[in-house]
Amino acid sequence: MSCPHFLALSSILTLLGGFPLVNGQEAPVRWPAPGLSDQSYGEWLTFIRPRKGELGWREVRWHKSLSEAAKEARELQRPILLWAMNGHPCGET
Amino acid sequence: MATRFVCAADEAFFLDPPRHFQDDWLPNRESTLLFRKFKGKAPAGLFPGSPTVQGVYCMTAEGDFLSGYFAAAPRDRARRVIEEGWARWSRVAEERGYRSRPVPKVPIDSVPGQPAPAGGLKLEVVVRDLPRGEETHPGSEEWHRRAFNLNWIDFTASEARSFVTTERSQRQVPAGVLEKLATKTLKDSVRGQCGDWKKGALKEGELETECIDKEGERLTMRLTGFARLEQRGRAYDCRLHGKAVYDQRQGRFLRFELVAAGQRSGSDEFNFRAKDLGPAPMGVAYILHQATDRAEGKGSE
Repeated sequence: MSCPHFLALSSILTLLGGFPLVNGQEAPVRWPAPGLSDQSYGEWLTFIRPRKGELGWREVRWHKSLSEAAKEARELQRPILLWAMNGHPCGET
Repeated sequence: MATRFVCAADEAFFLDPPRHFQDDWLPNRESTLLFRKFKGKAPAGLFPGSPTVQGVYCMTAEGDFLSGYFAAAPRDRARRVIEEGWARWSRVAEERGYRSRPVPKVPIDSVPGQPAPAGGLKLEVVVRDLPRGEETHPGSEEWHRRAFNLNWIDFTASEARSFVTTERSQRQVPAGVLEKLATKTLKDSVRGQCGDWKKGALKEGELETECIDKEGERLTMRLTGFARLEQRGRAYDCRLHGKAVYDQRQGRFLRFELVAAGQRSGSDEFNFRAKDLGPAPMGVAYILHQATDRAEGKGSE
């Protein structure tokens, strides 16, 4: 998606000023954020939201806890595939 | 390949928490015990003494090691873990005389957290970097350019109702509702975990709702506002814009779309921004939680 036509006046104005940064100093804004309007917000919603190909992992039948999976694995006499992340992999961060 | 396995996705921190972490604080003690058993049986070197146990692993229901890869596995490596795990499982199953039954195809409830409260609102939240000039998907590494993250937020029935208005003039959504949305979800978890904002981090902000269309019992609201968050180490300053459709008869939202776009700066302990302090643009998108809708047999418009 190209973005220049989404630039709103407010975004351009931020270029003229600084941005409050962590150490109390101001850092220049190099890349303005897009402006949002009734016309543009939907395009940015689509841009931010994952594409179908980015959600392939959702097609796997994930149990949300290892113990639930172990219970079923014991019943079915099947192995367990575990995906462990800091921040729940299914987005429960 | 994964369909041969019973699959689990779980929070690494709680599978093997630090020693000072008390058992009472564990959300699922059985999972922790099983994972620690697996870890104890894993070959030396699989876990390199790191405080995290992130990775992809295959095991038996009793915690026997089958295969594993510590940390984020590239696609080929993850595939190899699954293949090795299956090969070892086949031998174990034969030795133990297992008679495997098929894994059901019926989906598992994938609604995060607790079920949405009655009359409440559960939103799916996505966060991603926005273009930096000509660089549509910015980042110095491939995974930076692909990075996005998912989160969710629950609003109670009364909080959800505060987005609804029949008035054509703008009305402010209560400050507490904006603060909840802002401190829990307007955060930079694009590349990794980011803590919620601390109390008081929302320095300024407004969210306004106005009815822009009424068709029978169906109200369409425009949502507009801004938020400026800042605490030691990081900041985010954004505009908010969206639209929501609410059915008064059904007492529920048919559609809820909200976008935040603004400048982030700084970093959090685990969000991989130490070399990308910004300021740089980041977006957050909210829609009705689709898994919740599916589970309730609904569906946003």
